Amino acid sequence: MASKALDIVKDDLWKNNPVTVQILGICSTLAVTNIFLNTLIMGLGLIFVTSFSALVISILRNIIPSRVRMMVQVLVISSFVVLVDITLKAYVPDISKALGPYVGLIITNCIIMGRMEAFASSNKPGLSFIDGFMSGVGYTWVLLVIAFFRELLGFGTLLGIPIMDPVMKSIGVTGGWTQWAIMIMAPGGFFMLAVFIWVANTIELKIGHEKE
Amino acid sequence: MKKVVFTFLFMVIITAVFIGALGFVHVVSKETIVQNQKLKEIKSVLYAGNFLPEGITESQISPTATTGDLPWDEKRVQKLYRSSLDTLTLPVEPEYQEFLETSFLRYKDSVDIYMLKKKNGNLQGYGFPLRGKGLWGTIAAFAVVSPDLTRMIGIDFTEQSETPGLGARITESEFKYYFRGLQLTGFFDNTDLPPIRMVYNKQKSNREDPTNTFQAITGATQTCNGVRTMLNSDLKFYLRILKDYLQTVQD
Repeated sequence: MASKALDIVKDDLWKNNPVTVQILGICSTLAVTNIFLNTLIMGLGLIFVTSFSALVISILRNIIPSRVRMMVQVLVISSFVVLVDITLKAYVPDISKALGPYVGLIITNCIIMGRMEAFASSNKPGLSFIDGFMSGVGYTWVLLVIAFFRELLGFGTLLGIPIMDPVMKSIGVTGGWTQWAIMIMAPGGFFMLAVFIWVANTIELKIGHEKE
Repeated sequence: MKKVVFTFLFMVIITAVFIGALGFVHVVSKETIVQNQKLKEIKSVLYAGNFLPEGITESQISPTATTGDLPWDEKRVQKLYRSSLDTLTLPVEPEYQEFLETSFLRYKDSVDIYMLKKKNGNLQGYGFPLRGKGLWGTIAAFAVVSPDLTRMIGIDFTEQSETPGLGARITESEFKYYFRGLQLTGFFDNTDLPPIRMVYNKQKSNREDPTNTFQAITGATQTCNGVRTMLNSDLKFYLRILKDYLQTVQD
């Protein structure tokens, strides 16, 4: 169990990462990564939904009739997503508004359905929970790295705190930081994601060559 | 047959369980969500009406701050709501329909207008919601105009889905400041010129030098055009209905 869990962690975080290797969840990756805080909340929402949906699906796996299994998966996933949506609206309304329709769209995130179908529906609850959780973490850490650069270069801030302006002024650039507007827009998201996948694949290839 | 019945019952039971659980969460949090929305709306009306949090002046507000960023004391907001805001409901007569062709108020029988009062009870202005189209979606706002309907006290944007960092900057205080003192006399002139215009470089604010112009945001021309169109179209109706109301009251 422990070695299997370790393999799941390695797979989801790097070797078989949902974003960089499986190229899943790209829509939200491009949409929410222009602000670090929104990305973090979105990531936490996805981790919650993926892990608990996997747990429930795994518990019910032996009694779900096979012909309606995908209907049940969607029902479970959407229930957890609505739960996240209501919680955000009630306790962090500003972030809920900033995330707009993307919280609801977690339902359609291929990572979740993919993990339910490929793992949770045929594995024990403990492992399924770990797999769901780590898939969410694998998605979130990639988004956070992208969001870090997009917010930093696009707004000159991090979590809303001005970073680039003081840095530029401290090194003698009197005009401060000129915001890279393109980083905030969709093309900046495409560009950053492509760069990230390129870097990740290059590193993976290098590791593979060294092993050989 | 047995399989079909089991599948059917399974779906019914599992759906009932999850819907029941969500229904419970919805009931528990409904009140909080409604309160959040109401509080946000009140803050917007107060900000547009130039009621700022205690001890805060316009010059102390960061140019990038939104209304929600201001250090509001929620008890004071509720108190101001009770003491400074009254609602005036005016009927939408058929003669006003010509102003509402493209407006969200088109099929309404009546409109609610906030009356904002100063501490001494005198009228601070009239507040009402506006709705228009931006680049990506709907833009909604609250505007407050002076009691004599000649200038705008302020505006706050309550809903937008514009590009972050560009069009979405309409919610920042730097942009909204250009609407403080905006001249509205153009709505009462019989010309074809648009009563409110947008300029690309405004030297002085409308408080220092009142004009009918506001400064556009660089890189967000379509969003600013949407704001201008929304103001020119919705204000035309509101100012007309308010003018007629004031006339009736005076008579």
